[in-house]
Amino acid sequence: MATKPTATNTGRAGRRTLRLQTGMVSFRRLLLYLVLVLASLFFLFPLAWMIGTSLKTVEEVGQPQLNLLPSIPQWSNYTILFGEDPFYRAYFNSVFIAIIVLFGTVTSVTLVAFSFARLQWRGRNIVFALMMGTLMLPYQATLVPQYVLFYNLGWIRTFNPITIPGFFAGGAAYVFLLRQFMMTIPRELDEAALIDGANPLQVWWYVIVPLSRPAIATVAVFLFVGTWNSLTYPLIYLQRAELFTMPIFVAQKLNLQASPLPWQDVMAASVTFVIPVLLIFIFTQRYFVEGITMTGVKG
Amino acid sequence: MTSDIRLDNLIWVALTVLFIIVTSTGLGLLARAIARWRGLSEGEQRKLFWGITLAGPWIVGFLIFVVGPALASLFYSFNNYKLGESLEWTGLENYRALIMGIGAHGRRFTQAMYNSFYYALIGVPLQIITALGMALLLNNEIRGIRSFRTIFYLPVILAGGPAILLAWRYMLSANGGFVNVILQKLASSFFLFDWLYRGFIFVMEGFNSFYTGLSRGDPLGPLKFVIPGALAILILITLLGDWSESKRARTWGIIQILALIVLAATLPRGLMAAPIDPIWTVVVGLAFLGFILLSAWQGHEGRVRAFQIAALIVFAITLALTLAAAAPDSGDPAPYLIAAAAAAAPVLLSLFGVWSRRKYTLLGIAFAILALAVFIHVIPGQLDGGRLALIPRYLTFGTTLEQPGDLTYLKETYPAEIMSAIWFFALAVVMLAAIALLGDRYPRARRAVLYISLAFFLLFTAGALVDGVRYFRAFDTIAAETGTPAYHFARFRTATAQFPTQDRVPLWMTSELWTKPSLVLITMWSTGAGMLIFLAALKGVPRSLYEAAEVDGAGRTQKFFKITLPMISPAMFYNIVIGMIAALQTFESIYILRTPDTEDTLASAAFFLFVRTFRQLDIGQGAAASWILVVVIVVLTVIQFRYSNWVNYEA
Amino acid sequence: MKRAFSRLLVLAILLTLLAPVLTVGAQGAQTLEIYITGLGDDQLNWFREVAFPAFQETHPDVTLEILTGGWGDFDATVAGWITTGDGPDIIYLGSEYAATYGPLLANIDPYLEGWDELEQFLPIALDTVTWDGHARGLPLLMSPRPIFFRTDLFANPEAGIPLTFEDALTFVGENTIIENNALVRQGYMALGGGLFDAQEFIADIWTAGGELYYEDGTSAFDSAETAEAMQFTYDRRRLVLPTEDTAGLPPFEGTALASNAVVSGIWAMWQAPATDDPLWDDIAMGPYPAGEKGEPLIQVFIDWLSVPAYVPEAKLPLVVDFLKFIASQDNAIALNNVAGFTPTRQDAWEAIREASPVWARLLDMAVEYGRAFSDIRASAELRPLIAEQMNLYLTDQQSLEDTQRIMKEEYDAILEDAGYIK
Repeated sequence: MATKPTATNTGRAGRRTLRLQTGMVSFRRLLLYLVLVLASLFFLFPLAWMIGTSLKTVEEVGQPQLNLLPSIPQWSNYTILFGEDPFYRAYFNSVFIAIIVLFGTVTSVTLVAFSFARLQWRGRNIVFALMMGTLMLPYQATLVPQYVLFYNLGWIRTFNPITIPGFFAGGAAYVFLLRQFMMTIPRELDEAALIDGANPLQVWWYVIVPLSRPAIATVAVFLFVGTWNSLTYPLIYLQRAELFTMPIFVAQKLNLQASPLPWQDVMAASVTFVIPVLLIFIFTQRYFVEGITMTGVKG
Repeated sequence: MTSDIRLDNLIWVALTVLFIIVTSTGLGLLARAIARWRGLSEGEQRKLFWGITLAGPWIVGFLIFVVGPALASLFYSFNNYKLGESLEWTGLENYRALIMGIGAHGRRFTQAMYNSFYYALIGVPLQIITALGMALLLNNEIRGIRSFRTIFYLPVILAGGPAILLAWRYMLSANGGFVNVILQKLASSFFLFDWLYRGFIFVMEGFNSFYTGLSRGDPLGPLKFVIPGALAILILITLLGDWSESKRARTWGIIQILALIVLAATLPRGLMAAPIDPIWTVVVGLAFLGFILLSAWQGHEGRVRAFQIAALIVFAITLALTLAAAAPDSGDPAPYLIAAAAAAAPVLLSLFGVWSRRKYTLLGIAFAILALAVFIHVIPGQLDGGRLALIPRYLTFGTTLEQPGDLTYLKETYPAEIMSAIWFFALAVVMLAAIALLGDRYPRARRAVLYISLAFFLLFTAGALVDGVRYFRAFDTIAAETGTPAYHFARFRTATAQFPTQDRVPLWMTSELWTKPSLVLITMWSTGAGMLIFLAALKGVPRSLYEAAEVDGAGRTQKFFKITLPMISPAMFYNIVIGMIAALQTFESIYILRTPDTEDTLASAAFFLFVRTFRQLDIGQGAAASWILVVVIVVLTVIQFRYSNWVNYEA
Repeated sequence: MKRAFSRLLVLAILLTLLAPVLTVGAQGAQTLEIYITGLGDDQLNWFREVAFPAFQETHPDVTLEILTGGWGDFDATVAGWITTGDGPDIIYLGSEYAATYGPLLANIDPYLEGWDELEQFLPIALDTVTWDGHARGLPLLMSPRPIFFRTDLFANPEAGIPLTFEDALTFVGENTIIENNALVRQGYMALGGGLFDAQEFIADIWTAGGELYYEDGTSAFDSAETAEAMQFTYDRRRLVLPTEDTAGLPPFEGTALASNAVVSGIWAMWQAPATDDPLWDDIAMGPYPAGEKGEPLIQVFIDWLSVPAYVPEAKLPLVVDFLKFIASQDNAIALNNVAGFTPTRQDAWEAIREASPVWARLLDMAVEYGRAFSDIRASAELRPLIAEQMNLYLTDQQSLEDTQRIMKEEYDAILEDAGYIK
């Protein structure tokens, strides 16, 4: 710590700044809100457009002017959607896949990141470099050989190509993110646990996982959003209508052979599609923004 | 039916979990057995077992899902492989066409690489700044902040589908779109905004049209020397003043980067020439030797070993390829073998003995001899015919243009005749090395070299700049005389001909000057993932640090730069690395937003390889494109990791 | 603890070894799989609920299934099937795919022999599904794409439909309105909303009296006719966008033809208003204008059902049976009713003509002016080449001569690589 100012000095200056600050604070806060609201408008526009369009009539969608809101909300766009069997099927498939992927990937990724961040072993850096290397290979490059591999496993037209790879710590970016985070946890903590006779698996579960909660929650959100939105792999491997996920369902609403394009149906499906992600985000943000645990350890 | 599939999936999941446990543990046991056999200590064995076992899920997955397909794709890249047809080994042919920019596909690939670099070098920094700004805004504990967080993250949730990109198309519509309407309203409200608005259009169109010209391969003429010149001047200026340990380290770091640039600019093209000049073996050997010497001198034992092993592998492959290729061709392998031996000898030598003064001298001399050999070998092709005369001309602000009134001369003959700009990168390396070597013991000589280099580069760059302006003007003169455009940086010339009038608007998604900025804007908008990572990191910064700083009288800015930034540097590092990789692989947004008019100016390298592979069914060349992209990304990422000492773990 | 762990390990190993045995599914009876992309639920349901049961009446032991995907991943999926040699028996394709997938598709000529209904199909439709002299599938529907005109918006109400390059330029110039450096009304718009489309450009070379290839199979991009078509495209662009920084039309949802902002343009019928829309009173159709030596024409795009080469020979009769069934007169009419498909069989047209004068006019035009997008070699490489080079030329970055030379050189190289030039 640097030198402390003398008592008298802080006394007077401190009081003045305090008075100044209350005025400053409210002005700053106002400014902050202003910036936040303006930025929010920018971020909200597409959602507003989506919801607005989802409540329009076919004719309104086809109108040459760009209106954000419908004249009369067409709730029937939604009731028709909710009356469709494929909608429920696609929804259920998506939820099923997301749960499995989330479970498998979060567990394995956390384990692997722990090994890279907290355990010292020979060759670790080489293995880590290899893992980073897999990030650099564009996925389009291996699509064909991978298709052949999954074909030989008998996985075409099943959920396996989409769910199983996640269990093998799929997604090097997540491992990297968790590693970056775990490396900031003070080393004394797991050393203490190891001295107490815990094995690395126990250190992982009792020390590192609880302390990495913000990062794990972040990874879980990313993973969920990624899985929920993913279109390429499901389209290539599922092929059968009854296996389709929500993104495919939404994309197929976009019937190019219709005029005008049924944007209201696409958007109604999109809105229902976005809701779970929103809920998950709102629910989990507590975990990654609190960060109390971390602060507690370090402070 | 579907429930069967779900059940099947669950069975596979259960089996997979068991499989992973078994194989991971197996790998761990295997690693321990090997460690025991190698005679490692009990503790090391234990560490290895746990490390491998816990990293096992990834290792096993890598072996199953990545290695095979990646090797297959690598194999395809050396073949003429059209979908549904049989493979035909063509060696480096696919790579050659792409790297040398041969034909329609080569040219398009070059342009795709330019586009990718635009996304990485211009897009990523902007993305990071936006994400950090958003995170800082959201890191305030005020009422309703949670809702704002959700709103700010919305774009990421929505960005998945084509619907949202379509919404962007409306927002960015040039005529009556949300963004332009607001910009125009702002501009018309206050004269200063109007000038800012038009200035923005001018700068954006000027820059992007220049970049367009570059990516289309329009020759820069003398202006190309300004790039190494200006870079050298900047570096030399930072070295002014007293010599210090940190300057020494920095200089060596810069030397390595410059050397890498020289290598990256020459090596791929050199290796792609047919037949390959044997001298490239020596260049490769030289590069390895340089890195070994440098690493040894800096005391990085591991790095020395790594470079030695890599060099030996490369030489072994070279040897095998030389023998294999020479046998059926019955070409003369002798020059290749001699070159390989000459290049490999010092590397082999470096394996033995301790790093004594004698060893350094010996290897240094070998390095110098090899460098001289390369230099002498290259001179007849590169520096003869009065090419070197360019230097004295520029130093005296003279010109190198001999027939400024001839279009073919300006466009083709002249660019082919003048020196390569790479020489000046190389010159900068030599001068910096001299400064760094002299720095420790001969401060005067160091200063002399520094000032002389600085004076040289200043004069030279200014001369090149003047001649470059002459070069660009010459086209205008010809165009004015003949009445037809000269088609050289054509869009740049029209974009900068006059300051934008008041009725001008950014043509976001329609003009090739605005498509890449549009894409960058959209990625900035959907950068919520980066924001989230920053936010999580910001929440991890202990309040006590700020309190302590406040006691010390630190201001807002000081707190940000002295505490916040270092504390969130791991998150920053993550965002930069991942952002860069993602930018170089940009695909989905291009796929949805492109129109036939704008496809070429948007296409990234990943988009190119998709089109080559799946549209045009040329799997071989598509694979080659992807491996070139991989090498580029690997090099950039390694550089980032190598210079990541600003990242602060366990602060 | 340790013992339990080792037991678990043994169990796991056993299960892992057994896994392949456990999951092998039973092979079903003969199934026919049809891959269809880009059609809506209504159209697909007609296949599932009407066509399939009808087909099963004559083929009781066959199961039929539709596989779908999206155009976005279509290419990658097909690549997977071809590499593994296992995929659907019939693939729904667009016009230009015969040139791309040609060698990967089966020759079904032997199974079409003696099928006299073949002569009912428009010849240009049969050309489209032919590669290397053999049929690779059967046409399913067609999309004639004339130029549509909004006669009520004409600046000069007396003006007729332009039939020459010269008249077309006058027309576009008259009908384009620019205010404040931004378009208010556009005299002409190409398919896709731009001012230029690679397919339309090929048609313009044809209407200029040129062809894409010389007798020896090399590219004819250096011909005078190509130059004429290029100049026409350039001049037309300059009439709409005097400079490259003119802003385009405001955005509109729905069809451009109904937007009142576009006076003429090329679209597919499904991009036009429904045929019972009163707007049709003010809509005229015309062919593409022609140069001095050429004749006007319209392009007709054919969607077709193709048979991949990996389908085992024993299965081909059944596959072709299904193709014949779907392409039959009854089903062609049914598909028109259900999905608005325009059949390529002329014996199915009567009902359509009666139902709507718009369709009657369109069919007449298809017969009179129609030219299909067939015999376009190496189309997957040609389209981007034209788009790239023409964009350079149209935006004043490359001269007409250089553009012609580069297109010729590079297309020749592509043709040679693909084996069209020996």
